[in-house]
Amino acid sequence: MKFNEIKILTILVSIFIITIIWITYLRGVININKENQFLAMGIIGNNNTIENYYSNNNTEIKLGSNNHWNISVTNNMDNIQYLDIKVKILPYNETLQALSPLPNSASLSPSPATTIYNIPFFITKGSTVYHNFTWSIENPSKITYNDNTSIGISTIININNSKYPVDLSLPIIPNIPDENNFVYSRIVFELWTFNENTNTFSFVINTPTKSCVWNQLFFKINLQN
Amino acid sequence: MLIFISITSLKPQPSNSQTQYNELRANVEVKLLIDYNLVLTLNKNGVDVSYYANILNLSLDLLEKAGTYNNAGDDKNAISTLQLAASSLNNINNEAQNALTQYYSKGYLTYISNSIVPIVTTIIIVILTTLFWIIYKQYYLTKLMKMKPEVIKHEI
Repeated sequence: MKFNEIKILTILVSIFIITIIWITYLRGVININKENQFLAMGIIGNNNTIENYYSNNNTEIKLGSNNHWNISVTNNMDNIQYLDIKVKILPYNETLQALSPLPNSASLSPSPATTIYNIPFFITKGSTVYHNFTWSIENPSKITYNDNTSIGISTIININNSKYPVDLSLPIIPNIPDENNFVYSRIVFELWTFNENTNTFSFVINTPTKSCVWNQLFFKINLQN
Repeated sequence: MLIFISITSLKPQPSNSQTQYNELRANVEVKLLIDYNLVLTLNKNGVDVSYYANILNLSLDLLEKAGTYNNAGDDKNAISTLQLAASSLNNINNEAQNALTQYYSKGYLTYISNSIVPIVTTIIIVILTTLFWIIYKQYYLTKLMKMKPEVIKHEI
């Protein structure tokens, strides 16, 4: 090997070692893994599986009978998070068209439907928590409005032993309720994060690529039951 | 004037215990946010906050329980539950403040010692490279000086 080649090789090796040392150090100081930050939410059915959500083996809710679900939330953000799961009931028709806007992942906007139940909680970084969500529907009944442009379903939703009255107002569509007297609806779970700068909960998760988390499950109730 | 006084006196006024409940609840909610911000600062500085998170969650449970008592008209239990939540939040506020003070006093030294490691290592590598180069150059020159020109004998 020539004299000049050894000179260049020595300099390159020392630069390489110094670079490795500084990268290792800076990885600890600056969080390079910001892209991997996320919050995740899942709904787990009876027997802690992702099936058997309803006792009937279909989406029909047996009136007064409890559905035992668990909501799992994983925090893979940098720090502890103050979160709130907002539960909403949204009607839809039998062709699966939403009659009330769903949350929109593209525009990062939540559903405008009223929140019927909140689950606020704190979760440390890197952990997963499970929240019991036992619910049932009691005494649904039809409300007839005088203007004849809409119908309503008045019902009581019992969540974790607390009763919440719900009125689902629907525009008149031939198939609601359908010929079997079924009313179709969905239960929507939105995950909101607390923003310490504004001191309010926000539907938008503050990751480098802004995101939102929500989940939905369909169900139908029979008004004749 | 008399009619106005009569109308205002007819308006249902919240009871004393309900007013006390509302004030206490607002106070607990503010404390919760203050403590969360404190815990968040600790966490951002690398402190494990699992213990604080458990207490904060316990306070949220107590707030919900107090709301249930209040809705049922049980003002006494609603207020005592809120007082319990306020007390646990006061405790973690003190503990988190102490932890933060300790972190700032120890943390600065840790930061300095952590920054020194790569700087010192870089200096050592530069010195070793220079030394290596000086020694090698010396060796190379000595080797070069000891070389004798090769004489080629030409036979006539």
